[in-house]
Amino acid sequence: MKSDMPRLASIAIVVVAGVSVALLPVLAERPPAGPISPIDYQAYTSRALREHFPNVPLVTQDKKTVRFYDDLIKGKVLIIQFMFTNCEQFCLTVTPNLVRVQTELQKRGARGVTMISITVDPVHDTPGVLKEYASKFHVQPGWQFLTGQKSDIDQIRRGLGVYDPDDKKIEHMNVLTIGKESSGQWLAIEGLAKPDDIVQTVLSLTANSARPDQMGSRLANH
Amino acid sequence: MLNRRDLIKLGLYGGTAGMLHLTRLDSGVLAWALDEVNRNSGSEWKPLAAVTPFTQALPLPPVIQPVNPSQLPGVQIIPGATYYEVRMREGTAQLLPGMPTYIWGYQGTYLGPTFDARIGETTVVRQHNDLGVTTIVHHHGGHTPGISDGAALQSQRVQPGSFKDYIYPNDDDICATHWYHDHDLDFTGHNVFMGLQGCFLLHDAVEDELNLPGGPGDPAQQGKMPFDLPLVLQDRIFDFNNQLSYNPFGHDGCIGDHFLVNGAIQPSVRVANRKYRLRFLNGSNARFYQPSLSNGMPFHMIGSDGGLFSKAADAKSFLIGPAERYEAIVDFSKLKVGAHVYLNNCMAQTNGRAPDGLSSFCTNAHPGLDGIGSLLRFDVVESLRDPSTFTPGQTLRPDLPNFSSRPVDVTRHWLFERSNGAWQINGQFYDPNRIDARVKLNTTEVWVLQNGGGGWFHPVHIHRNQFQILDRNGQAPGPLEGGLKDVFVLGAGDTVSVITYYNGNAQVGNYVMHCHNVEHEDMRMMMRWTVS
Repeated sequence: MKSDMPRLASIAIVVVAGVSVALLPVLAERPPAGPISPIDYQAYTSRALREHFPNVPLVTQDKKTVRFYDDLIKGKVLIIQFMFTNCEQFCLTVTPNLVRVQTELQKRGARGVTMISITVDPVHDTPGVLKEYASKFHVQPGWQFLTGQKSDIDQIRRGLGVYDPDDKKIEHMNVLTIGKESSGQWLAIEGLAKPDDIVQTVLSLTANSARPDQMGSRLANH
Repeated sequence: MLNRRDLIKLGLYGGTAGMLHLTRLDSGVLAWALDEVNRNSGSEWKPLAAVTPFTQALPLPPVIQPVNPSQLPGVQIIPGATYYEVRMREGTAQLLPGMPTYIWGYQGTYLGPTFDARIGETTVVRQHNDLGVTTIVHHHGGHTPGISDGAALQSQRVQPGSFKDYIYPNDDDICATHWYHDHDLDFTGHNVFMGLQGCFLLHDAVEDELNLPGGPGDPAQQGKMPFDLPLVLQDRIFDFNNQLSYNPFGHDGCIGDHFLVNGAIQPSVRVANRKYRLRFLNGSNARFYQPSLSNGMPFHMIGSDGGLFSKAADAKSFLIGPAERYEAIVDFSKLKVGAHVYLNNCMAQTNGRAPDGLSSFCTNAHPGLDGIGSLLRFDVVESLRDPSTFTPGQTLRPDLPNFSSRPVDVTRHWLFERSNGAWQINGQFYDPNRIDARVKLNTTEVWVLQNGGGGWFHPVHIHRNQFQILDRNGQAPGPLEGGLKDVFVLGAGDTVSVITYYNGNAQVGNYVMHCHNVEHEDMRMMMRWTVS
């Protein structure tokens, strides 16, 4: 109760300010057909999903330490792959598939799509090994390869629902997690899906729902 | 002094983002909720306010009223068609005590309005997308042209701020309990979880003649519940702010711990001591139910997904998988006024893999994650004359189409299995750009649906047609699977053969078949097929 008091006071001020500044114009321009206002839901969902992204430290192929949520997820549209360099099954084909996706995204001018590949075999896959792996596949900037503590990586996999204790390495290995953090929209798709299909999926996510053009003008009008 | 709740009611809550929220009550709810999340982050887990079961009245989604096509600029004019206008939009619903729940709904209500149409009556629906996400509207069960079917294809998407006119010829074989729901590519699970579902009922003359409860000869009294009730079963999860809590990373299937019928948690319904027609629709993402009545009364089962059976059959309980429909007559006439009967779920299920099994004791007012307990209470409150007619075991539809008497043109095999980290059909994930079967008009096909194992259940849904089950694991179908169906529960190791005749010159184009555990569907356990 005690901590509630100043909050209520500040809310009252906001409301008073809001009424005097904004209520009349807002009511006057309220569209008759129900406005599109996804911002609140997206913000809420994005906040609610944060527990799925443990902010654990990971190390990039360039030996830079980054935080999973703060540096890799927050505010990003991204494709997340789990792999390991000794993988002789899916990863051997998924990684080249993702290279085609990256090329296609660049060709279509899709900026701001991040790709991250996290090893599930961090003992073997040191930053140096990952760097060599990335260069072998001619990976372009905008795609990071990450290693870290095994327990931290497992925690990330559990958060993203791509962890199966019965089959730690192979299970879900070829499932890509694709999402947009700010809107809380996340989906999973097979890593061997046609590059075109993956690209379409990512592009519809970048085009979908944020609609910054519209929302920007709406906000500006207020 | 005003608290936040009062401010919300007045539409005056500012929230963290300030002025924007003054525009809408709905946005105010989320601002309030976001504030609560920020305030509570790091603090101890807080329980949800509990619903006192059976205190809310069973909601009845309103029947949508037609509009004049002149109100729909540019709409295609079809002689004799009935026109409707629907807005998919945000709204709030008082699902739990305290803070309202933010939802997405057709017309902004948690369960959309019910469509009522006659066989042969064309329905045109203009669906506006006022949401911030793309949507696709699927008429589930309908014999619909591909362009209006609402399959998960990029080309079928209704973009935010845009609309689409769906044209349903409703030239199905017989009357049925269909429904409509979202079918967006990759996001169906989230969209339907938020409330994008509704009933679509088809009627015909044969049904009228039967004089079943709630038919044209048995109208409801003014202001009272009708004698023909849809019962949409859903399970949901809420966060501690009473908001729907969908986990997009829960790929095995979303299992809830709160149980709704027609959009209210464990409601009660006032009935007379007479016969009722109940239309069960499993609108859950991944949960199976086994409904039974607490006093041991039977369900007189009269129909499944695609309409009435040829003959009624009694059942003490029945399995209903995601997206399945079953219709039953329940007769309260032997009960005294003042009696209570509980609709119980006896099937336990705690994850999306499969139901855990039947419970013999299922009268539990507080079902938990396993789902065992009472979903709805019938309160017998009055005596009423019953002009409807029904005799257990009676003949209903001697006119059911008999596809199995036709020569088979093509047989196709479909294997549903867990593979490569998710679930595939014939070793492939869904690619909206790939066609896996091309069906020719006016041919008869048998599709053999096989569960590849691993203990997973898959309720398989095929668009466009109703089907007859030829056999389940080599055995003739039981009485509840002898009618027309569009969802087939593939239990662990099951093989089900289904047959249909692909008629209808308008019904050409793209369709899909998929698992209706919608999380499996979103993981692309789906295939595209065409009719030409």
